[in-house]
Amino acid sequence: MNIEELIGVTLRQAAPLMLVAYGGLFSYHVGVINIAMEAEMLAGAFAGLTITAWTNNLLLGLLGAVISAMLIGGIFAILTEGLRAHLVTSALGLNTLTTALTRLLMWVVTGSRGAFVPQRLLSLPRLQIPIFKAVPVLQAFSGHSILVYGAWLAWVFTALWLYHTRLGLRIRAVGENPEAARAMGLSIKRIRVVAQLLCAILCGLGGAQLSLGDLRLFTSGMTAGKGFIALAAIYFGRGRPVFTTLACLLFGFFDGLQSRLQLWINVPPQLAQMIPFLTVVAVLILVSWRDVRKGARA
Amino acid sequence: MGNWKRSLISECVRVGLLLAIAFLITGLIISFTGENPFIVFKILVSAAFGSSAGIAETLSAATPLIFTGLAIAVAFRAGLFNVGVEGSLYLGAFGAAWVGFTWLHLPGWMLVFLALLFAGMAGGLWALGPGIVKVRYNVDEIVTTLMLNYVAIYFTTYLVTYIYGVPGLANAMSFPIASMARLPRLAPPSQLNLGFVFALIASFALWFVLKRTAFGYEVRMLGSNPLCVKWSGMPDKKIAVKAMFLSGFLGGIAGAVQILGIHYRFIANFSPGYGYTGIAVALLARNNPLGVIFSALLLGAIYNGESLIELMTAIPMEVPRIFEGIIIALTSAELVVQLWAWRRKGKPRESKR
Amino acid sequence: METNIPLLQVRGITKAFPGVLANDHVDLTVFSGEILGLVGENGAGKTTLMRIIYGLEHPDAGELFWKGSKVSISSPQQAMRLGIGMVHQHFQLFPSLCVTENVVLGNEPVFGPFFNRRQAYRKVAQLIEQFGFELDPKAVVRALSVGQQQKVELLKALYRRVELLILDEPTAVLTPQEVESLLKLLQELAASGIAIILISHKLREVLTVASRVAVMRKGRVVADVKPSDVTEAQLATLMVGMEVQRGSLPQEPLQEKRDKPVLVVQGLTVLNDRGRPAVNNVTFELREGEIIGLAGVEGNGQQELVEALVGVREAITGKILLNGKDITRISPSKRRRLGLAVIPGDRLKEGVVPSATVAENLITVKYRQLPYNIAGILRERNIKEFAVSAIKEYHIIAEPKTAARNLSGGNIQRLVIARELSTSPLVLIAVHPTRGLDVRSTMEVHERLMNLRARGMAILVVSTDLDELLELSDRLLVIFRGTIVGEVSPRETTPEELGLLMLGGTRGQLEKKFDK
Repeated sequence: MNIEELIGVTLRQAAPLMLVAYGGLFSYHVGVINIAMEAEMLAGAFAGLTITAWTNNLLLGLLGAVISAMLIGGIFAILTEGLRAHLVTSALGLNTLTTALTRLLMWVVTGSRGAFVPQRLLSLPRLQIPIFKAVPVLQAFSGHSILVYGAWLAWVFTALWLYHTRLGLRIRAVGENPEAARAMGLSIKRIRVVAQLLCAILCGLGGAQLSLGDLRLFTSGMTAGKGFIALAAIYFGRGRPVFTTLACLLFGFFDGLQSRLQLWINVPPQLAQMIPFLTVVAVLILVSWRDVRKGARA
Repeated sequence: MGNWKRSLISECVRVGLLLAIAFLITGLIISFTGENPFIVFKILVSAAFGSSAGIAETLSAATPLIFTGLAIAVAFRAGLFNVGVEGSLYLGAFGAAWVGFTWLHLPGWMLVFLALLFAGMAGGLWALGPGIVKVRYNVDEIVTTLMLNYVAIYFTTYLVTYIYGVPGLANAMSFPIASMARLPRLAPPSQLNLGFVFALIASFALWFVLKRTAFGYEVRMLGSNPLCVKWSGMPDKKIAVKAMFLSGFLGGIAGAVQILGIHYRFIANFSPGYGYTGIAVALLARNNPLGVIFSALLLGAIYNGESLIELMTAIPMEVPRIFEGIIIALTSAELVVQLWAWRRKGKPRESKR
Repeated sequence: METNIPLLQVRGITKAFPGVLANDHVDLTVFSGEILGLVGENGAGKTTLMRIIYGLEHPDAGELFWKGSKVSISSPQQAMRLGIGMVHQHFQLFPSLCVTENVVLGNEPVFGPFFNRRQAYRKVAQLIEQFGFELDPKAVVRALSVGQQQKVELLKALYRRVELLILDEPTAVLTPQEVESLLKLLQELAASGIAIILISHKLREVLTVASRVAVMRKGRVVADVKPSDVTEAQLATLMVGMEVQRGSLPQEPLQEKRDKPVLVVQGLTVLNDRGRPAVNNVTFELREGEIIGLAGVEGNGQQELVEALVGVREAITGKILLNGKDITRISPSKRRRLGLAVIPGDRLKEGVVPSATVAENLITVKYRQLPYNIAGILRERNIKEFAVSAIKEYHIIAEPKTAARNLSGGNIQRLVIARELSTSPLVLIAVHPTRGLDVRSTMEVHERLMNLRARGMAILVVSTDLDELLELSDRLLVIFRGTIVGEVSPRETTPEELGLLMLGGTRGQLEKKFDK
């Protein structure tokens, strides 16, 4: 049991969750339950990796990740705002569609099925922090891909944006009482769409971290429910960025633990793999139970 | 009396429009990959309906989809999103296999009955957890059931790799079930089996339950206005939990029928996503149990042609899933349908569900 | 103060919704510095007209003139830019945001992309001081009283320098003292040159402050008079189009004295959604053959109390006894079987299942019982028979197969009443039973309640309509912040006393609490 390893793996696993969750906060506060985050993340993961491999340019890759996620987010926004579609079913459909499309595109573009492992791939640059590197335990905080640190920056960015800018105030207002917002002269549709696009940008980056950050490959459905886990993190925090971060770290920890367990003890891989998902369910139940206790509603 | 006729027609128009758009977009995507969409569709149609063997395979492919479609539909009617049908399906499949290879000395019909019962109970109990925490603590059932899907898949894989599995195989599978537990094939050499008949029976049964029984009434009222149901003194929580159980039960049967009718053993990861496709089936049928039969046939036909497309064209098997995704995504987009109805009747139509 | 060019002129405005012509060629004129009272029954078209003026709706035909030039007001933003402000009947506030944020939203002072909070606080504080409102600009709106929340609504308009201020039923939720201070404020605003349109069904109030009164009926303006030229009764007649007799219900005392308590509430405490006590140690008794009115400003625990009585919400301490039996922990369905019935306050959300048929809605309380349900299967014929007889008995204009959402408000209420009374309950809880109903339906409901009372039913009427409560009740309880602060006899009390109690004062207090 290596603490450093655990810390490192937690930070790495939590980073994509954090990015997606912060994006999801915009959606949450504007009053839209965004289940399409999974699709946006997957699109970002695919586009990020593929474009980077193709152009040998990381920046273009990240840009591609963001744009592809925004495409999905845009479709979602058109469906729900323009065509008045149901939030959940249209998102579920987009998830299925994106999974299938990425597989199709993967075959079309690279000829691979199921997994795309590029031979020579530029991966995201790693950041070494000299102060941390010197100290034993803190070593684990240095040397991660820039998007891991980017995730923490995203936390600051999101909190600042939501609570201290004019747009953030409007987003929260629209989420709380859309009718009142309209009466105050705000365009509900426009604000919702902006929030969705902001969400998509962060989800795209989260997906990019997933495929480009450590694994350096893309497999079909590699997001494996992470978009939903991020959603759970938001529920855990009830929309407060601090608690959302905490939850992401928690889930990241269990995710990392699961792979370490397979190495350290002789746990059957399938049982270990169940752990992160069970954790999410347990956390959700706990949080809701606590809320009900406070409210005492029948 | 022309009222229901009129709504039937408008439903058909709506579905037709939806399908047309889905075909259109899917076709566009296909042409983007360099293949001719019409050829692809032709392959699909000929595979599905071109021969009696094809039709039999289509019916066989529709069987699990009818069950999962019913499972999702009944949850939807109660106002719940049970995305966990896939998990119930896996547990049910394993439960049925277990009965099949454990009690080898019972008569066939009893084995089948017990297997189905076990499968249903397993699937139902799996859905019960999320249902209970939803009504008691308001835990979002979409996330919980989705998470539990992964758990179910991993768990059953574990069971069949380490405990009940035939050792030494690349893809783990269980011991075979007793030959007497196999559901008879209806049209060899196709895979069509008695399970299809069970599916039809289940569909009619659910239709009856929803329309004529007190429980069905409770479910419909709950789905339409849970607040009024509470105020009227109806036991809203019990109804919701029962509906989830029933949903999981049907999901479990879906898995069981695949094992008893086709695979004859539990194979890890055997489902290509029947539980998720069930969502498209239910939505396309507007959660009507009888309509589920038709939408399941449609999607079954499309999935049937999947491997053929793979064989005869250059593109991989993603076409059906793309189609399915579009259907699910668009099914609640009302605007297009509203425009159509508006042009015909001269005033905008208010549709809610 | 009248100038020659009217501030706002409405000409020929017409607006139709499916099934109803809300505004039918309406003509109206408003001058600066005057208070125009706008009265009319529910559904007469007042709110629709105001929403058109405020840009929330678009007229099908007609023109609007602002200061003499033609304008087309297509959004609230535009209305606000012109100088029109609106205080809505149902507050358009954001509970989790503070007063300042609520007031400045849409016109926020900024610092780059950032919200300039400090400047916003300053500006709002200035405004609060100017009008003497006594509000904390940083206070979270959720924690404010209803009267204070209305001030926030007013601030929204005043922050934007209104020239025309529209108030839609502003006094419906205020105590008599708060009403007085509001009316005074309106007069001050008018004196400073602001034009005011006051929508209210409290004719007395309108006649007190308005310089002109316009009467709307069925989408048209049917009269435009000076308050000095009309009486309340005449106005009411114009509103309805026929003679209205109010307060003419038979108030005969019961033949025998019935003392038997049917519903006993002891020390009941109920938490609200946020975990704080909404009902605080409440005790009262409801006897056979009497109507108890529960008066109070909306949001003082009435909803939670009713929910606890019905069983939709759990009480944390206390007891509820129905006919001597402890029902505190019993499920709602069992309570109904024991004789409890309720007409919920929100017809469409709590009272019926809108997409279900009339018949399906009628049996929600009876579907488990024998003639309608045999071994779990519903007997359609018996259900239909029951529906037909209920429709006839309660004069519901519909067929058993009609979807509930297609019924008018009055018919939905009849449906709910029919359903609730079909179980022959011992206790009936009626929550705003006549809210949103026209005068005829209101009288019908009141009559029915009095009949039930005469036949021995115990009835609890929860309402914010003091006239209704004064008319119906044998005893009147006043609730404030979850506690019963007083019990009065309707025939002996005065509006001032009631108002005091509703504001939290105790009976016998000489000094009146005022909001400046």
